[in-house]
Amino acid sequence: MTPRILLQLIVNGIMLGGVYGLMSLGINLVWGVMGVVNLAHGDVIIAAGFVTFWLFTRLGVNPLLALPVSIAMGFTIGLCVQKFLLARVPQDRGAVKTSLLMTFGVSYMLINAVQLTFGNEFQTVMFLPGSWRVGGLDFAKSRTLAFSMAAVISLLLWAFLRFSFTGRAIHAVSQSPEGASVCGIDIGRTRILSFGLGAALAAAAGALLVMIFAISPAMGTGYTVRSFAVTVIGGLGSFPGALLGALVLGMAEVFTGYLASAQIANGIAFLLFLAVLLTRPQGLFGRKTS
Amino acid sequence: MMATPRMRALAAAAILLAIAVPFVGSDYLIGLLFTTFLFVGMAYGWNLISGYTAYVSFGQISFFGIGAYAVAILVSKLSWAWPFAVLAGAGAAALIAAPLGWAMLRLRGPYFALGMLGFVQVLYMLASSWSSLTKGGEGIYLPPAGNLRPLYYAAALMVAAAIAVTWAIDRSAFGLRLRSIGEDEIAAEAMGVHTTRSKLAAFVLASTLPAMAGGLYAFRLSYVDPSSAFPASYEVQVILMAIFGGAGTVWGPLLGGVVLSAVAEALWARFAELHLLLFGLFIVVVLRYMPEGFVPLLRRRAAAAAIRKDAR
Repeated sequence: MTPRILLQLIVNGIMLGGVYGLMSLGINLVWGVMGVVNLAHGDVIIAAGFVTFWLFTRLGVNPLLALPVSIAMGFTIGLCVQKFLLARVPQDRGAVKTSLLMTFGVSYMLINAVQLTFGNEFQTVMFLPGSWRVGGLDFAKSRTLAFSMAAVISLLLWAFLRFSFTGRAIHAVSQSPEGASVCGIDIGRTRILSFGLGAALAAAAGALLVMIFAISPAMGTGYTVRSFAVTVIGGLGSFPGALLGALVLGMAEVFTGYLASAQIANGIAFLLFLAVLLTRPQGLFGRKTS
Repeated sequence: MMATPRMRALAAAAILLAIAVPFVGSDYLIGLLFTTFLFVGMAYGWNLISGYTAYVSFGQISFFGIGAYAVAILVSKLSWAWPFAVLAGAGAAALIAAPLGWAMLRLRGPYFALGMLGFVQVLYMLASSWSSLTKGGEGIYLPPAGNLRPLYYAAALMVAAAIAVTWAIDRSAFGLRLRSIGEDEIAAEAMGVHTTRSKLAAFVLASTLPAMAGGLYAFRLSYVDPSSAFPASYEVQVILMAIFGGAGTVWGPLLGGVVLSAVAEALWARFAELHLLLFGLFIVVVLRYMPEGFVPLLRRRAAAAAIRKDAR
């Protein structure tokens, strides 16, 4: 491996990592507020990818303009799942189990809906072919765009959680639901909003993903696992950790893809996930709790 | 459920019927029952780990695939007889489940669930890329299964064993330990339950049933490739059957498996392209309106009827 190839792989890894980071933020947010994982997360990613693809090929809509459409769709799905399903799960010892099973059911409903609407083929959006050459390195235009958009959305989310009242309410609920409730925050509403936001972030990531890779309806589970793996590697509840975890996974996949095969790269997320959980369960950046 | 005389008669009739079907039934019926038995067996497997404890596995299909590949490889490369190959597949699954469970069962809730999802992905990746063993995406062809009847009896035996083992566990101290883990793992540990050992035993035992089902399935199909060895839609169906019948009960998986297989055959076969949507929807509906499943519901009604009878 020449130094140039090494640098090139690092660049590609960072760009992929940016999109993975965006994917994992949704999982992280929902986990923080509710302690559950949306198993349909990856399927929202794929659904948004297909919506973007459809708008682009059929109606000629610029993928960047299609982004708000995807985000609105993701938000609506998440909102409905929380409002009509998860919010009604009795909060006893079986709550986590029931929530997981419910989102598992939703996951297959989404997969099937995407298959019926858009077909079962692999699709991608050829929006910006070609690449920029800077200092002997190739920056594929589509990847650079996806990375920058992911960075912008992540920053917006960070600012929203840090500065807006609603964002701080979400933060408060994730720290202590009782405390937040005492301060007059409507927990039920905050949860619905967070779950919607989590799915909206998945949708945003999906709309960007389809510019980089070809996707097919059944691929969602792989992205649910990746998003969760990133969150675990970085440490649940840690914003910089999630971004670092995403870079680790992006690099690992790009390097195994180059050295071995793309198929093997698909299994890397699980191996990293297991390695981190066995050696450092709180994640590379996470706070140590019980 | 109590072993009332009526229940015993029902069980005896069911067993006799299962033995008699291959002599009188059509190939279609035998094939249908064979598939139903495979699903019922898998539902019992899921029930052992995810019904009794709170560890929801979305990756039992990984053991199905291990069993399928074990049979394919042993039969096609080493020309083993299929019954031994099926048992060897169950053994292989248990051997893999032991270290896997050791690592995974220290993870709770979503960690375990997502870990098992990830494990399926890794196996799929291995099956597609380890060509010297699995022939990758090209798949392994087996000699045609021919007579379906021996396979039918093997599947029926598997279901009988699954019911017997679940029944024995349900009334044993081991079953009680598993339930206590499902209720409150920390409390169970505090009371002296060796939780890791119990969970691991249940996990390893639970892995053998889908492995046998996968082996029988592969031999029947006489072809194995990555997507037929790890069919995601089976995972959904099996989980649906177990929770519909009643997770954590002895008879739930049987009831759920038989009822839903019949419904699937009668109704859903016409909506083949809607299968996943319907399975997903059913899971959500069952969890929403009947979270305990059918068997506890029946049991409660029976108890209520008995009380009314006493009062009279």
